[in-house]
Amino acid sequence: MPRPAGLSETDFDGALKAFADVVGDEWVMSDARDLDAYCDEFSPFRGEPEEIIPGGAVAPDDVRQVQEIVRIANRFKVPLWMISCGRNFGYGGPAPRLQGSVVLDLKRMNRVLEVNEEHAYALVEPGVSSMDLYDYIQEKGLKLWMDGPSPGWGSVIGSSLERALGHGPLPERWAQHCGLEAVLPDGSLIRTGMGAIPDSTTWQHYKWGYGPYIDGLFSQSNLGVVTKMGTWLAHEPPATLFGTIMAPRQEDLISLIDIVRPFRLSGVLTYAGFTRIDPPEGEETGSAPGARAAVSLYGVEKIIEAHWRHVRDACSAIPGVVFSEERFQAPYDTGAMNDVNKRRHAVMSMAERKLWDHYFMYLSHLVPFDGKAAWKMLSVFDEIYAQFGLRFRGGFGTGNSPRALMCSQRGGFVKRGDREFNKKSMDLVRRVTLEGGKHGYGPYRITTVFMDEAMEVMSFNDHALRRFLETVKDALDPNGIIAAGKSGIWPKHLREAGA
Amino acid sequence: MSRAFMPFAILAGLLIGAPAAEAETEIERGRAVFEKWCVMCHGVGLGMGATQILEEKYQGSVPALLEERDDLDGEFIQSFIRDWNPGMPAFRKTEISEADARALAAYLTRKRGESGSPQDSRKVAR
Repeated sequence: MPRPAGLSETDFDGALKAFADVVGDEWVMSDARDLDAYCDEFSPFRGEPEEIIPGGAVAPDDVRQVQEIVRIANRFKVPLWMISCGRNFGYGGPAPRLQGSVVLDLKRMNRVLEVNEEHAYALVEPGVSSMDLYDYIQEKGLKLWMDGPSPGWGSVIGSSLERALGHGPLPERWAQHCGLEAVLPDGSLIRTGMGAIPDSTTWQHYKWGYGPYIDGLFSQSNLGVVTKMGTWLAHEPPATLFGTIMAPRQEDLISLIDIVRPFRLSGVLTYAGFTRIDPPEGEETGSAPGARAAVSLYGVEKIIEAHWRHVRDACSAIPGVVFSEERFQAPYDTGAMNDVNKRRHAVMSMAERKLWDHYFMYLSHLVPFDGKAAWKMLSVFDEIYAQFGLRFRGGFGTGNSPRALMCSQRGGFVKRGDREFNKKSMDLVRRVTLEGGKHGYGPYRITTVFMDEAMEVMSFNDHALRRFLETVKDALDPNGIIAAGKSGIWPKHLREAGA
Repeated sequence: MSRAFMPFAILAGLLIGAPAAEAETEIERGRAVFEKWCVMCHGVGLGMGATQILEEKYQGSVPALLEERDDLDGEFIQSFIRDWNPGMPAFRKTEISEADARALAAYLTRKRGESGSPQDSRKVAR
């Protein structure tokens, strides 16, 4: 298996042996068969010489072991790449960015430490998946809802740190986190927010703590290994309503977005998503029903009914608009729901598995919650995709902010072994990212292959953001052993080597 | 049976019954593994993508539900789950341990009539 460049076999093997002394031989993997599961099956380089392959994997069971592993990694200068559940498919999966890194697999740390029904929060370890937390809540009979980016086997902590978007009652995943614990690159332990008080009683009650708020430094980041995180949940609403608003022309999307915006902003709507409905392949643009909004309301039945009527009245300004809705009340019969409704009710499922008929690279870009701005973004992406002989298809969601639209696209399909096809896909993703940046469209998240390009877009004041993060990285992690290259942040020795 | 012989008979009975009990425990453990990791795609009900794919693949020649198959090979199962297959990712040892993989194989290759009651409806209906 590959070793990190510049690291001797003696040192690398020494590190693996030292890891084994901490976690036991069983939980240090260096066999090619075992390590294959830590590769990125969705990578356009899968099976190619350019593929990034880990040199080993180590799986601790508790925080103390994580601290020891980090200290050993510093001693031997072995780069680590941490994963929670390692199911970040389409964004890089479990694979590192630096050849030969040792994957720090946190899946064994899978304890639900606390679920508080009265105050609606949970405290979990990184190996707890959304499915695990959902099952825990159901088994205890708690009347709590959570949000869960599909599929449900993703980590609660991992998906929050990645700022993944949600679909249900608490769609802004990262916004729901409250307090975290992390192992820093020197092996020391920190708790953020009110967790900085020993035996704190408000760690999961109040986010901000005292002094500079540092939680974001651990999100989409390589400045520490998060080992615990609090997340807010919601009390089960008495009723829910999912509404669909169909407008006859594609251009109606502009009005639809502008009319719905104040309802999403005020919280009347918990979620709103928009789609320009394109004709089937082979047909000309404009010949199909044009635009759709999907909205969610949760709460007391009479109130959400009144809110929904208000939304319909406002949207009726669009000629030819048609409404439909589905209503549900507690106790909810989630078994009878379809995949979409399950997701909106935060019922964990593998519904999005159907997307995996092809491997792909996810990319999503942000634009203000504004009809004309969204329409312009569509035309920019239409043109780029057309230059590649493709038709752009994508929708807008507001799962991560009530003030921004996120245009999600499975931008680059991947076919294993087809270098020409995959190169074209990568060229597309690169063009969308870099050219989108020129229009001010920033990425919300991107696959590991393009993290450098995504950071390149954030270029205000001669890349001040990246320079700041590199300064922090160099101070906290002088040996560069934590997740080198994550979000385009490389440790000093690799920057100087031209990584 | 003489009183003197009875303790030996009881002990013999326990010893003979021990492997069967162990096998039963492993099958139950395998069932728990299946319900945790497999039923979400290989179960019955809406959204069970893997079952649907196998229905299309086999066209009724063999059951699409894994739990209804009686021709599965234990070694194959333990190996299969470690590799990526179309639409199905690899499962790492930190997710399904070696012991859990053996138990899963035992469950899916159990003789019908052994432990393996219908899936918990809550899991299926999710």
